[in-house]
Amino acid sequence: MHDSATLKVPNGKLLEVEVTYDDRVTNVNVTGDFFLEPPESHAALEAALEGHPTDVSRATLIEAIQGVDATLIGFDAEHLAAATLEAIQ
Amino acid sequence: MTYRIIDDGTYSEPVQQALEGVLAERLDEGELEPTLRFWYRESPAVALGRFQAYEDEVAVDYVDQRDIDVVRRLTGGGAMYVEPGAVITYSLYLPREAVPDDIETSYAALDQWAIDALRSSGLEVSHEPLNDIAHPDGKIGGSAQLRKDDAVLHHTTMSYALDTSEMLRVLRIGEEKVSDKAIESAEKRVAVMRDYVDASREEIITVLKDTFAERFDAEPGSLPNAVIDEARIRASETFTTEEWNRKL
Repeated sequence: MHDSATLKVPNGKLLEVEVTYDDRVTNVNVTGDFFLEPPESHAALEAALEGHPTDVSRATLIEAIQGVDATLIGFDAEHLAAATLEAIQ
Repeated sequence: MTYRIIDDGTYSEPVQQALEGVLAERLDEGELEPTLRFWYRESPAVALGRFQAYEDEVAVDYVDQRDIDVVRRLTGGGAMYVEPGAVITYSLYLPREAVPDDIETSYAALDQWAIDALRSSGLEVSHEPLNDIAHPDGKIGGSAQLRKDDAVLHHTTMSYALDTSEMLRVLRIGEEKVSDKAIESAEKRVAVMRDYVDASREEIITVLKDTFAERFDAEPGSLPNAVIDEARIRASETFTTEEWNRKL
């Protein structure tokens, strides 16, 4: 299955999350007009969202995102987790 | 700290974007003085934010027909349509210790001299978090940053006389549901300086340079040839390639 969700962060940036999944999330693409420092952390951030079962909890996703050594600018872990869950559902 | 102000050199969009990486790295390695650089372009182009999806932002058929360069930046943020002579772009390359650690504070701080310069030219502009320069009628410009261990790149593009109808054909924001209302609201997002001031683009750039030089210790300079050569190589290896520009 392949789905996507778009989230406009209030007073922040646009996040678009595209997911491919069966019983687990196999691939995630995160795009938008946000900033990341360092920018090279983008791949690690996407990887942190992959491999989870499709009924993954929001808390688990937030924890996975926060485990990446990255500064998220224009959104936070809660926004990215919410958009990812919306895409899966 | 003495800044160098570089106000010459016309380059293609891929070379311009490549220069950003080369200059930020040179400063990071202590091989470049803190610098303010103004950009001069060869042709209309789209500068895509680093994390944006190409096909979400660009009217692909239209830019192909018109041969408009679409170049992915090293910095995040949103897509900008740019035309030579119709926008003002400048970059600041600064030592990390000269920039506030807090990102939001740093955008406001690094935009302030430019906002003051535009205000002295009669433009009612202000900083709008995170990274916009706003006029009451719409967005006049935006900034983006890239941080290295010991260097910060802060670049800003502002509309002087941008053809906003063309912008709406090039960028997909103009496409939204194809309703007149959507186009109206998209157009409102961009305000262009020439609607409010008589000053020419060159005069505005002069005010920017003078304001910067009054506030900071600054001397005119130019880009070393080695930097330009390196940027041309990176442009051909990265910033002209589909692998980079269309990677998302």
